[in-house]
Amino acid sequence: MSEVKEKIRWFPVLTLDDLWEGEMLDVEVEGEEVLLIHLPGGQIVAYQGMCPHQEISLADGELKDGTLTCTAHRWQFEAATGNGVNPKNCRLYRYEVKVEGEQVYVGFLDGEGRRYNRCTAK
Amino acid sequence: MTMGVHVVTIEPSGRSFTVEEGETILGAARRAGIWLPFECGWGSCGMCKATLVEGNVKCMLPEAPALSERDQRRRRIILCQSVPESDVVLKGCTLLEEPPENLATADYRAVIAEVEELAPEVARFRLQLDRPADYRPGQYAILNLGDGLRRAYSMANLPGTREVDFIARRYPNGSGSQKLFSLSPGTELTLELPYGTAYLRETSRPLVFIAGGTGIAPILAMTREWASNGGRTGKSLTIFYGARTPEDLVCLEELQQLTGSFPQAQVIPVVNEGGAGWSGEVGFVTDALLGRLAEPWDEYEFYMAGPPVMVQSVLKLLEEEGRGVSITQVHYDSFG
Repeated sequence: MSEVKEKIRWFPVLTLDDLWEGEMLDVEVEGEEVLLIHLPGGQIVAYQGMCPHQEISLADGELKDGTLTCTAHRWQFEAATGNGVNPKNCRLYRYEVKVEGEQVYVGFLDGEGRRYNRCTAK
Repeated sequence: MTMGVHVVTIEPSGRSFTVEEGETILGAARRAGIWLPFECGWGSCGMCKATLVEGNVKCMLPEAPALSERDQRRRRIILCQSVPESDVVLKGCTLLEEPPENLATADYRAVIAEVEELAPEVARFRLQLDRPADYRPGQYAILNLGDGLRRAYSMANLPGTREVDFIARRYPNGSGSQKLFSLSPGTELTLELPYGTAYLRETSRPLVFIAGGTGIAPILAMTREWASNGGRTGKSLTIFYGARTPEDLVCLEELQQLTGSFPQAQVIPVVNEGGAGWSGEVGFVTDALLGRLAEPWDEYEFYMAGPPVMVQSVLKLLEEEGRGVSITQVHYDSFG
């Protein structure tokens, strides 16, 4: 672990009225597809926009009862954490998020390589 | 420009191609040598979704399982069922460098060679193609039945020959099956294959095949492949074959013959209505799975084909907490 909390570059992506509680939306940040979820309770989380399985947009999927399901092959993730529900050994890359007033920002950690987890089907 | 011919442009690359009257965007792209992501070709998987930036399309299957209300709001369309009504600009879909694995779909000319009745309202259609068919057992074709009517049917036989077999049921209100059953030997048509990804993978896990109704066609093809490989794929093979009545189990004998010489194979027929003389399982396929499939279920590799309601209820059962079946070990296609 590096002692400095890495610097974060923030990008404004949307305002709160674009993303109601319980909904999700995909945005493009610096050419990367990012999925934003407004969790019940108010917290906003951001994950890689493409499914770790294949290049499928997770925003095309279904968000229900705290579970995000990719339509193509039913891979499921916990909306609050990005952890794999099925299959379990897989998780979504999670972006930094901050909200200032109505504005939502997605953050890139400096020096970080790939913001995209990939899992194979085996 | 001819009436009915439209141009589709994909942003940001700007690649464009023309779509003939009545053609789907996915089909036209393929014919133009442009491969876009897809899998089922029928509106179930949602892999071919794209955002409609400009223009209008007609969706041939508005009730497609892959389409949600959200998609409508976001102007997301499924290219496999979308026919342009004007020039169209799309974004949000990837251009592939080659066909997806095992999905080098191609057009074939076909003639109906033989129609064999297997049970009342159930028949095997044997089609002669213009060249040998290239597919994996378990995959399916989309038949152009005329007047824009298209239907998906799985091949029941092995690839590599100029013959393909389909098994279909005639539904009283099914325009597709009614049309298919009206075709007699000698009728010419065109078809596209292969589609779908529920084909046999190399594995050391014990195999479970689950077939419902005419979903037996792809399961039969995979069983033929398994048997022709000497039953070496997987540790064992258990086949659950469900239908409404014993007489609807049209391929039961064929299945039993194929697997008869393999001690590691077992066929378990299941019917909803047994009646006198039936000593097998009665109920839904899910009941038979619960009663007959040994634990632990997370050891198995599952393959299934059948009506969407069966596929969905088996999926639900497998995904139940505690069973721990990874979705990566479940292979299926689900089209109506």
